[in-house]
Amino acid sequence: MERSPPELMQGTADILILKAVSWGPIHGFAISKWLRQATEECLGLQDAGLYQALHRLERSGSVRSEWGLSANNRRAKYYELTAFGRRQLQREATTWRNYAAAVARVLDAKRLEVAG
Amino acid sequence: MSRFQFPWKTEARIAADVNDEFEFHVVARAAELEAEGLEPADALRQANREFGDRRQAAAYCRRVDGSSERAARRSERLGEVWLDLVYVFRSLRRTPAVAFTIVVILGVSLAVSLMGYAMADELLVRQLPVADPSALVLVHGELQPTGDEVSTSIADYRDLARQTRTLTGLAGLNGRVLALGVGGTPIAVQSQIVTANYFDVLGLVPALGRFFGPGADDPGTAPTAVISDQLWRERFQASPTVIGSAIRVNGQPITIIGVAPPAFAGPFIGFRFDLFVALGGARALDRTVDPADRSRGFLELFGRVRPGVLPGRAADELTGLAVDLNRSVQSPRDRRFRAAPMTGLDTELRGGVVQVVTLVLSLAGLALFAASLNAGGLLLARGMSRQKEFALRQALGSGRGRLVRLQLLEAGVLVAGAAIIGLILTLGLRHAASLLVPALPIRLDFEFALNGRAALVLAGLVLVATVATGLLPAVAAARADPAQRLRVGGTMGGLDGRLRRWFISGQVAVTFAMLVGAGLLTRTVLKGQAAEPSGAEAIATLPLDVSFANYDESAGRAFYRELLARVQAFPGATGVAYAARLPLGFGNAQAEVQIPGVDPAPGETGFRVETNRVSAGWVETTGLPMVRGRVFSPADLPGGPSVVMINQTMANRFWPNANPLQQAVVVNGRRSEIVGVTDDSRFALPGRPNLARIYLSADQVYSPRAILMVRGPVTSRGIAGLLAGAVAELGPDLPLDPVGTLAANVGLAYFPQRLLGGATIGVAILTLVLAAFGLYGLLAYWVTMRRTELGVRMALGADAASIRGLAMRQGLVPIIWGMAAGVALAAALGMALRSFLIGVSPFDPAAYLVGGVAFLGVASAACLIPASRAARLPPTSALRGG
Repeated sequence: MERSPPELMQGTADILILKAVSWGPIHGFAISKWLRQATEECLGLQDAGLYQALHRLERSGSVRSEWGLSANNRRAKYYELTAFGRRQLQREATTWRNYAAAVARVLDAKRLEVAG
Repeated sequence: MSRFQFPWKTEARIAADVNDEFEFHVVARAAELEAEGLEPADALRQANREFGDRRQAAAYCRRVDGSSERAARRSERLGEVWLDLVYVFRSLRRTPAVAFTIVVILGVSLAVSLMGYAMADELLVRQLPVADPSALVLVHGELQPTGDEVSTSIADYRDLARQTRTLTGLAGLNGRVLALGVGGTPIAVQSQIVTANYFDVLGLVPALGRFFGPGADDPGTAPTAVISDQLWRERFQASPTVIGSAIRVNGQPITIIGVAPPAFAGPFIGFRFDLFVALGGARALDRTVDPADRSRGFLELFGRVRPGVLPGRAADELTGLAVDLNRSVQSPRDRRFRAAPMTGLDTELRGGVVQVVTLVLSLAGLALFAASLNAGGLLLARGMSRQKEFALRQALGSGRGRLVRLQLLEAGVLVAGAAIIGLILTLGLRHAASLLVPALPIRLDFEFALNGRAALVLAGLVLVATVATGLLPAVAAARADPAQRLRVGGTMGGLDGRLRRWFISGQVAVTFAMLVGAGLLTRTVLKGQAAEPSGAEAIATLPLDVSFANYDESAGRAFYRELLARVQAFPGATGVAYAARLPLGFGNAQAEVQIPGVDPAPGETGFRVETNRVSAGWVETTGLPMVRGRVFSPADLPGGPSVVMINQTMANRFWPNANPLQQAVVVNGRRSEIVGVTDDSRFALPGRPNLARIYLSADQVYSPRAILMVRGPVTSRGIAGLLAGAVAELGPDLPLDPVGTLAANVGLAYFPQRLLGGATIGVAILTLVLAAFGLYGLLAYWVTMRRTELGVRMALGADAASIRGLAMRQGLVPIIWGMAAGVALAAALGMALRSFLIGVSPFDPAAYLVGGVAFLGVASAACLIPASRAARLPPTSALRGG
């Protein structure tokens, strides 16, 4: 049995997917591959969950999709970011960085002398 | 990335897409793993494992995609409707005259339908404003064996009300006009003398003060009254101090103890009662009332049935109680009781009302339908200029459904505008119905109210009108062939033209039938007027009742004697008399007569004949022809030998081969001598057979009630004014009705005919105008489309007359077909109206002739305008313009 990577919170998965899509039309398999490499397989996102998130993001208008041909000439569904999705990515990336920085600061902090 | 999307995705398509997407992933990953050295089967298994729960994910994605698909479709459709709406408004603004015409035509038609509905609602649908009206029953007494309706005596009522077990309460009322004095000349007020429990049985709560207590029925109690909310506002300025104050009713002081709730004005729809006097005070108002006399009927009864009891059971119980009552008090009156639901409308009247209302509603509906179709025709004619555009849209892939929808939307927008106009008209004219109703001897009260029911009806009418208006253009749009349209450059290629001709034919038929119907009813009214006494408009009439002032017989006789003497001295008065009933009037008086030498039928004690009481001078004043004998004279004194006149029908019936003069008859127990025989004419209401009639001498048989008739110039400065002045001076306590004329009274007898006739004429004019519009539109369109052909004809030598003839023929064909169908429709309408046509055949040739001439006149004028325009076209411009 493999060691299973920590589960992602939903919002976290969305922001990673938006980032992956942000460079232009990309199909689900490429996103999955990129995520595995980018996170060095530290963050676990099952492919099934990835596709569910993609379809959800398409419904909410963050991404749009179109069928096209893959490098080896197979029919594949390509996703790209909408203007709305781009704004969402920026907003959430900022929020996430602030959050991570705050958590990191707390974890790095020295013990406080508390009076009384 | 292109946003152009082709047909919407189906469920299957969505599922296939999701599957393809997943499959691509798994295959791609497997290939990757294979490249890393795994066996193909292992690689595939590994890829599938990495993917996770594929079934669950596919279901989820299908659900998400389906919902976004539906949302996209919705917003697309909404966007389309919005675009169409903008388009409709823009195109309507381009042709404001057409839009305006359609909105006005439809608005008027909708208003007519709404008014018809308001009448139906008021008369047949609305319930009495009382608690649980379905449990109320009217209880009619019927004399056996004749079945004549009788009212119940006060004494009998009290016994029945005490003994009934099937009813939670039995109440009674006696409707009559009372003279209400609130300073100045008394006014006549429709009133009811009611039992103490009247308001309790109806389940009402007073708006002010209280209703009658249990003791209010007892004779001799101080008279008390409840007034209607309307009277309270009109005569007492809605002052709360009215409670406990005394008013004068028939000259007697009466204390007002309460005000009825606002919606309530008596338990009969359409009639307004304003004053409710407790039974205990009846004798103070009318000396002839005797609470102990069981032989005199006084009250109409109604009651509230106990829950779970059938109305018929209540009637049976009352019948049983009445039988016991008759036995114990040895009353000769053998009665049965019959219970009827208390709808507020008399059961007998209801049949007639249903008939009239149904006819009015049918006419209104027909008019609305014709107007809608016509509006559709106008839209279609206007739409022809957009044919190319439509064809282009269709060729570019716009669905037929969308074009049809566009037509319906346009119709809907116009009908919505019309609904606003119709509603404004209806609310503005809500009292107009009362203008159609000539002054009735009773007060009628109807009103249109915009409530939930009315709104529902309006919505239904709007829907029907929209569909009917959009029908023609929508069918044309659906059947259009874009290729042909683009090719021939905008002609409608036969089909729409054929549709329009059919439609014009239908309109011609309806219009012709309406005109004939209006003609039939008008002829009936005219015939009735022709039958009225000569110079009826020059006979002033004034109903009088000295019991209002509580005069006894000698005071009453003195009043009438003095009044007649004064009136005879009026300048211009050429005849003065009084009688109990007017010729062709409402009401019915009968008496039982015995004739010496003629045996009544077995089991009968005499013969029933109609009666009237007339004074000396009455025959001369009304101009009724005498057949033989003499008229009443001032020498026929109260104490002298009793004299009567009879009509020809009575003479023929009882003395077929003998001279009736000097023969004896016994009327109401008085032996009298026949001194004259009159003509048969003028008493039966229209449509009723003449009956045997006997005239008693009003000078010999006293009654406090009479109708004064004066022949002379009836103007406010002439007879009418003098008459009112004389009555006010001689009887200051008497309420003064407006002075009328005999002609107006006769007109009243033809009230249903006049009401229906008015409605039919209105609808006929409306449909005539519509048909004229339709014909004009058809021909104008034809001329525009055939411009080239007409130009060629003219260039080849056709003269103006032949071109005009050619154009007129286009209108003639639908007119001929329409008239043919119209004759059949008119015959059907005539048969439906049969019961209203008195002395006029449903196939009256004059009505058909007048209807035909009127229609052809208007129709040819409508056709002639475009036809003449065609004839005036200069050939060159016609060729150029084609």
